[in-house]
Amino acid sequence: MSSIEQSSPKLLSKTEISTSTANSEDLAATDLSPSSPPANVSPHNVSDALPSCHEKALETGQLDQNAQHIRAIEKENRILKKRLKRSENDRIYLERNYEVRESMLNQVVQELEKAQVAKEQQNQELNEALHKLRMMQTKLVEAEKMSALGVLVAGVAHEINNPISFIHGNVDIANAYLGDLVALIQLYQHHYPDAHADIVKKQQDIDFEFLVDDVFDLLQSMQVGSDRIREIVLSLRTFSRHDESAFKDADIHEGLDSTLMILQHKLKDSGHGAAIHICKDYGDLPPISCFAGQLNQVFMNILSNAIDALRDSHDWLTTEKTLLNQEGHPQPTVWIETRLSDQKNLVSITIGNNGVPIPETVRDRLFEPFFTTKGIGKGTGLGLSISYQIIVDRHHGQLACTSSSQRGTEFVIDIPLHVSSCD
Amino acid sequence: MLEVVVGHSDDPDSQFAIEDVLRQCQESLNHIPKAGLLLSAIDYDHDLILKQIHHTFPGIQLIGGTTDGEMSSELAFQQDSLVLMLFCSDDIEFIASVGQNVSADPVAITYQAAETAKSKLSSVPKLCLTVPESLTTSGVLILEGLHQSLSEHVPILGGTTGDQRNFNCTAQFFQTEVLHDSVPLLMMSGNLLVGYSVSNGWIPMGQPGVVTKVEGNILYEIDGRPPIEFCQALGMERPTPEYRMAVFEPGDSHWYLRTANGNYDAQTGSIAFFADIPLNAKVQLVRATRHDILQAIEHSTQTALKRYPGNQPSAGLFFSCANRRQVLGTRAKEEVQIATAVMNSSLPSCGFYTYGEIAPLTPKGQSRFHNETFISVFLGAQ
Repeated sequence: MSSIEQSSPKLLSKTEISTSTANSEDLAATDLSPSSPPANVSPHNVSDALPSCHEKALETGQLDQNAQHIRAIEKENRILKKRLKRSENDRIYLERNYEVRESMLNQVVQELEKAQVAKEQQNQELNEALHKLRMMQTKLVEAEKMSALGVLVAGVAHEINNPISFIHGNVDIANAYLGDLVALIQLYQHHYPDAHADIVKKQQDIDFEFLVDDVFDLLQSMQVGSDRIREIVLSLRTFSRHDESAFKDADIHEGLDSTLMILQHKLKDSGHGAAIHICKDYGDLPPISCFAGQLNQVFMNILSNAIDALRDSHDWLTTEKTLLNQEGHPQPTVWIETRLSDQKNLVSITIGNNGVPIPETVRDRLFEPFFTTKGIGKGTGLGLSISYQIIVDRHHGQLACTSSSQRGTEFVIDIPLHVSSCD
Repeated sequence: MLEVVVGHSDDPDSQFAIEDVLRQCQESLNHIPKAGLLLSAIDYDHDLILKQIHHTFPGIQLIGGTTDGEMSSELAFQQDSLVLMLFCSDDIEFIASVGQNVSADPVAITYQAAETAKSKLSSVPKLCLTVPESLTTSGVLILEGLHQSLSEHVPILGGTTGDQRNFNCTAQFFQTEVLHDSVPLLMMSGNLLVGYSVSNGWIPMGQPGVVTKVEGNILYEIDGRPPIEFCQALGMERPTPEYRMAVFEPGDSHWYLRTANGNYDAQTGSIAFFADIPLNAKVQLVRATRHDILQAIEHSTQTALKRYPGNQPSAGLFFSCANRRQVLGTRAKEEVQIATAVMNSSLPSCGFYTYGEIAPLTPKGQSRFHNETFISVFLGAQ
C-alpha cells in the first residue's frame, strides 16, 4: 500500500481540494481525472502563470501525486458512501425481518397459550373422568359388596329358616301337648280334690293357677315371634332373590312388600322426624316375566330416595294421596300403586311421595350417571341411572318421573307383561 | 497451458472500477485472453463495462452476470464490486453462447444454446460454465436443457444471477450485451482439467417423508399430508425461509438442499421453494449452526482439490448462495477466507453469491440444481 493510501483520507469536496491546493489565483478547480489533462494548464502556461514554488512542484511531479491522492480519497469516499447505503439497506432489512419474526413469535406464543388452555381443559376433563371412574369403581365395589351381602343374606336366611321352621311347627304341637297336660291335671283336681300336702305346697310355690294361664300366653308370644322371624326371613329371601336370578315370572307385589319390610326401620318415627306413612293401592296383577332381584333393586332405589326426600324437609305437600293428621296438616306419605293396562299387556307401578317437588333442571338429569343432589359421601348418583338401565334395557320398559306441587313426585315404571329374556 | 488472471475492484464508479479491474488484469497477463467471466453488482453501468472489456480485449468469449456478492483472491468478500476473470490458453478452446427469452421454453432454448456452443468446438466439451437467469424461469428446467445436449460426463457448473435480494431484475452478460431472461454458456474443450465438489453443512434430521404431490417448486403433499403439517410435526409452526429440506431423488443416497422462499398457503398447507422438487423424492428437514455451514467450505474445497486430476490447478471458482450469505451475516467473509486458506493463496480465484448453484453431487455425476450450497471448482491444464 502506498504512503498516500496509508494516510487517513480527509473527505474533501472537489472545491475544497482545489481551494486548498491552489496557491495561485490562476490554478482553479480542474478535471483531475487521469484520462484528461488539466484543461487550462499546460507546461508552458504553468511556467508562465505560476509562481516559482509551483513550478518546482510540477517539475517534481508533486501535482501528480496530489492528483493520485485526491483520486484515492474520492474513491474511498465513493466506497464509503456505497457501504453506508448498503448498511442502511441492511438495517431496513433487519428491521423488517425483526418485525416478521416478532409477529411470528407472537403468533406462536398465542398458539401456545391456546394449546395450554386446551391442555388444561383436557386435563380437567381427564381428572373428571378419573373421578367418575373412581366413583364407578366404588359403586361397583359397593355393588359387589351388596351382591356378596345378598349371598350372605340368602345364606343366613336359609340357615335361619330351618330352625325357625321347626320352632314354628313345634310351638303348635307344644301348645297342644300343654293343653292336654293341663286338662289332665284339671281332671285329677276334679276327681281328687283333697290333694297331698306336698302337692298343695307345690301348687302354691309355682302359683299353678297363674302358670296355667300364662303358659299359653307364652306359647302364643313364641308363636308370634317365630311367625315374625319367618316373615323377615321370607322378605330377605324375596329381596335378594339370589335363588331366583333367572328371567322368570314373579309376583311384583311380593317384591314391593319385601323391600318395604327391609326399609321398615327408616319409616318409623325414631327421633329423626315423623313416621312415614305407606299407602298401598295394589291392582290385580298376574305374575310378570322379569329379573325379580333387579326389579327389587329398582324399588329399593326409588323408595329410599322417597324416604330421604321426606326426611330432608318438613314442607310436605298436600295432595289427593297425602295423609293428613287430626289438625289437617299433611304427613310424610309414600304411595305405591300397581295397575295392569287396559290392553292387558303392560304393568304400571307408581311410587310417589309428597316431599318438596324436584326442579325441572334437576329432573332432566335424574337418570344421568353420577348425577346427585346429595352431599359429598351421601350418594354416588348411580342408583337411578342403574334403575333406568334395568327397566329400559333389561326389561324393555319405561321409567319416568313427574313432580309438581299439586301432585307431588311420582316415579312411574311401565313393564311389558310378557317379554322374552332381555339378556 | 492455462493462464488465469483476476481483477477485482470495489470502486462504485463504473468507469473507475473497470479501469481498475483491467489494469489489474493487464499487470498480470502474459498472453492474450481468450475468454472471461464477469461478475458484477447490480448498480454498475454494465454496458459501459462490457464495452471497455471488449475494447481492451477484442473477440474475447465473455459471459457473466449480476450477483448478490462477489469474492476473489484479490479483494476477498465484497458487496457492490466488479470481478473479471480472464482465461488464456493455447490448447484449450473457449466458446460462449447464449439462449435468450429462456422463460418461453427453458429446456428447448437452453438446449439450442448448448448445441450452438458445442458445434463451434473442435472437440468434445470438457466443461460448461453458466450463469443463467434466476427470476423468470426454473433453474431445474434450464439444467434439463443442458443435460439433453451434453453428455452426462460433462460437468455443468455455475450459478444463477442475483440482484442483492431485491428479487426484481437480474442481468446476464454475453459478449457486449447486457441481457435479461437469458442463459449464457461458456463451454471449454481441449487440454482442460477440472476438479469440483459441493457441500452445504446442513444435517438431515427427523423422520423422512415422500413427496406425493408437487407442481414445480410448490410442494403440496408429503406422505399424503400438507407439508405444513410435516414441519409442524417436527416442532416448526410456520414455514419460513429458514425451512429447508434435504431432497433425495428416488434411488439416490446423495441429496441436495431446497429452501422455502417464505410463501405458503395456510389453507392448502402448500409451501413454495426456491427451486423445483421432484415427485416421489424423499425429503427430510435439516439443521445446522453457522459453524457447520462454514465447515462445509473447508470440506468442499479440500475435496475439489483432491478430485483435481492434475498437479496444480491454475484457477479456482466458487459459487455460493445468497441465503448462505444471509445466514452467515457478518461471518460471510469467512467463506472465501476458508477456501483460500485451503488452496494455494497465490492461486487466482473468484466467485459470487447466486440465487441457485449448479454442480454434480458426485464426480462424473449429472449436475443438479442446489440451494444454499457452496461449490468449489479448480481448473487447470496438463
